[in-house]
Formats: sequence, structure tokens, C-alpha cells
Amino acid sequence: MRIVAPNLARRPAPGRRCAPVLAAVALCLPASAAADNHAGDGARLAAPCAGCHGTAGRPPADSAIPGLAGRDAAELAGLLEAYRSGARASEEMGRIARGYDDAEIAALAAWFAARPPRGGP
Amino acid sequence: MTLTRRGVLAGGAAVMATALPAGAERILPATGPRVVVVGGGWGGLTAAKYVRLLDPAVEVVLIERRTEFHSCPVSNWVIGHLRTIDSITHGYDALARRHGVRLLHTDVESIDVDARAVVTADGVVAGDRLILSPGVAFDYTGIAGWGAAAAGRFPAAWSPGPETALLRARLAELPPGGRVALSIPPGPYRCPPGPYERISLIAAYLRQHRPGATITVLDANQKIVSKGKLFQQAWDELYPGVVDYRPDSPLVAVDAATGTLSSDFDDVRADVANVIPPQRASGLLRAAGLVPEGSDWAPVDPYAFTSTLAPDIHIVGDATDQTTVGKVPKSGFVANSMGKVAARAAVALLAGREPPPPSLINTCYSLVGPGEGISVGAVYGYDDETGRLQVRPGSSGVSSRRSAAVAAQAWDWARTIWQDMLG
Repeated sequence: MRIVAPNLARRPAPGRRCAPVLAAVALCLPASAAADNHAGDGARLAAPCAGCHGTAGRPPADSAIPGLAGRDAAELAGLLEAYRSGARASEEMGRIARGYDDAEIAALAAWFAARPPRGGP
Repeated sequence: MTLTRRGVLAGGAAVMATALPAGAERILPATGPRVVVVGGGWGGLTAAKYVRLLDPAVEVVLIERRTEFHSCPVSNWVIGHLRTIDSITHGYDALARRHGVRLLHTDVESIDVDARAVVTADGVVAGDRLILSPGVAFDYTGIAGWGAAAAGRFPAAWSPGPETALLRARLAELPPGGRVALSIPPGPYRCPPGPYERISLIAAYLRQHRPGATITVLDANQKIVSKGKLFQQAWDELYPGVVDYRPDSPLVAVDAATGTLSSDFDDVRADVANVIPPQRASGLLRAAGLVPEGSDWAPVDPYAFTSTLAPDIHIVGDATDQTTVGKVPKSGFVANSMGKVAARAAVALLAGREPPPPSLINTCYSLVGPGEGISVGAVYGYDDETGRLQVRPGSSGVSSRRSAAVAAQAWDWARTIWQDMLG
């Protein structure tokens, strides 16, 4: 029987499953990106980003909203930090970036960086 | 109650079968772990696709009456003659072809909570977990004079499709100097800024194509519900004299013969009128015991989007109760985010794992004119203290001003999120 009753009494604190930062990045990456690329904490945080940036960070080819898949992790983390601090101006990304702490930004950047830019689910 | 239900579940298939209606035919027997999704709107589509992305070993059956998807976001642009109905219409076939989702286009008659089964016009479909995303029902019971004639005269166009096209066509037939009326229900309702975007785009159409025509708005709410300053500013600056906005004016009666909408204070006689009715969770949920007496919405625990009344059933989308979920708007973007949380939780629970905590985003784009837009949004996390979703500090915000850049981005957003659900 594969069904289990949800035991929601023992819950991890939100956003705390992957601290500290470096450990987070390593632990949260799926073992096999091709087979399991939507699992893990980076994927969990990244999933709602797909609403604008496309599934796994791949928007339609002619969208002006940039793709995220396969970009350098340090570049992506730097952009999120700049949006968060206001150093980089934006209509949407400033407020969105303020929704994530340093560990979460690192996990997001690492997950998108590990996605193949094209193809794959 | 819960223990009893779990006892029944543990009893296995023989017990489950007795819970179903006599004579109901079982269809689509499962060959492995299965999630059954009800509703091919924003929440259900997303949940179906993401269960398959998360675990290809889990079978997904998506039950949806319609054979084509019409997008609710951007449907106001169709009414305002900025886009065609074709531009917001998409097929469901890529979900089957690319992701292996089994589509069943039929009417859902009831949900059998204890058996985790969906009773459809074609037969009974059972699953290991259900994800329900049935959307809202319209409630006209408080509007005197409502009936078949009124329904024809005052389309809601609040679920996209034929009424969207009808309202668009009626605007094109408006006589010179004609009057449009629109009523907005009390919150909560689907798409908080939607009525105000619609007003803006109707006003833009009237100003450009029907000089002298006006739109009168009866709003049940005490002020503009979302992005109020930005909408008011756009109406004042772009459409002076076109929008007659009356807050705190719930619609109490209609007269189809004369085309009149009435609040307690005013009777507004219009050539074209749009009644956006009060809303509540789909009747399927109440009939299944998933909406308690005295409530209009389905209470869920937002950690895994499980019903607080039936922990083996996930419910996502506009039908969920904000008093249990937390103050998230009933938006397409939020339904998409909820679908992903429910998918992740369902897959984890099927594998005997604790679901991870939810993380959601909302962004609502609205056009205030053909080439200018505004947006509002936030990031949501789970608050252990309250058991509800809570805005991450600093992440909630609204555009500083209307802009062409946001309008362009709105269209790219729509195309992208359609692909995230359907592609």
C-alpha cells in the first residue's frame, strides 16, 4: 500500500530545510538532473517562477521575459541580490526577490543553472 | 470521522466499491499509483502536468468537461477588442502527448470522498489521491428579477468562452452615445483586479469607437478592490467623463425587459450590461461535504492543500477558503502555484514521504488601456504559528505607475504560463 496518511504535525520550518548555504546547494540538487529535475528544494522554490519564466526556466522563444535555464549560478544569484537590494530597478523582480533569503536565492540560482537551456521537461 | 474514513481506506478495494453508487460502472482501471485531477482550469492543469514531471511512475487522469481551454486572464482583452477569442483558446492535447496525462472529457456528477473516486457521466474513476480544482459557482439568489431572460440580457463573462464573445459583440453594436453598465460582486471573488481591468478596456473601446458612450459601475465593495489608485488615475486621465464609478452599491435587482440594474440607491438603465455575480465554491465540493454549512468556500490546510474535512483530498484554486489558506488572491497565478504545491505533496505522500513546505508566488497583470499595464504581486511562505500562508516580508507590492513595459510583459506572461500549464 503506497498510501500514507499525511502526518502534518511534524513539519520542518519553512525555508529552513537547506541552510547553511553551501550545504543547501549540494543537498538540494537532484542526484540525476535528467530523471529527477523537479524534485528537491531548489525545484520546490523555483516552481512558481515558471509562471513568468517558463517551466524549468524556459519561456517561449520570442518572450521578452528572460529564460533562466542553464545560466551561470553566480550571475543569477547576483541578479536576484541586486533586485532585492534595489541596486537593479524593476517593476516585478524587486518585490519578488525580497521574498527569498540568501540560502533560498542560492538554491534557486543553482537549480536553474543546472537545467539544460533547451529540451528536457 | 477521520479515523473511520482511514479505517475504510485501509480496508481496501472491496470496501471502496461498496461506497460507490449502485450500478456505477468503473472505468479506466489503474495500473499503478494514480492521481485523479478534477478541473482543467489553472489549478488542475498545473497539478496534472507537475505530478507527471515530479514522478512519471504516477498515472494522472484529468477530468474536464470542455475540450478546449479558454484563458480567464486576458479574456478582458478580448471583450475590449484587443485580442480575438482564438488568441486565448488552446487545446489540451499536449498534456496527453508530451506528458502522458490521461484526459477524460466528461461531466463530473459527484465526488466520493471516502472512496477517493470521481463519479462522471461516463463512469467512476478512482485514484490513490484526488486533486480537485473545480473553480467557482455563480450565485444569483440575492438578485431580484433574475431568471432566464436576465441571464441572456446580462452575461457574466466571468468564465471565459461564449459569453466573452457575446459581450465583445454587444459593445460593437452599442448605439452612439450609448450606455454600458457593469456590476461587481462583494469579495471574495475570482480575480480581484479583473472587473477594473474590464472597466478600463471597455472605457478605452468606447472612447475610441463610440464617442459619447459611457460606462456606469455598481460596485458592491466600498472601494476599488485591487490597485485602486492606479485604476482611478487611469480612468481620470485616459477616459475623463466615460467611467461613472459608484462604490458601496451592491446589485439588488435587475429588469431584463428594460435593461436595468438596480442598487438600493440607483436604477441604471443600459444598452449593454454585464453582471459579474457573487461567487462561491463549486457546488461539487459542497455536495461532497468539503464545504461546511455556513461557508461559501472549501477549507484547506495550505501546507499540502489538503481539505481540512478530508485529509486525503487536495483542493486548489479559486474554490479554496482564504480564511484557512491565508490572504492569497483568487488569481490564475496563485492557482498555478497551488497546483504545484498540491502536486508535490501528492507525489510525496504517495511515496510515503513528508511533503516539503509550500512556496508560492502571485503576479496579477492588468491593462488599464490598450498599451499600458500595471501589476501587483507577492511571495508567500507557510507560517508555522498560524498554519496559513503568509506574505514574505517586503515581497508584496504594486506598480508605481502604469507603463507600456508592463503591458508588453503581461502578454509574454500569459503565453508563458499557458505553456507552463498546457505545453
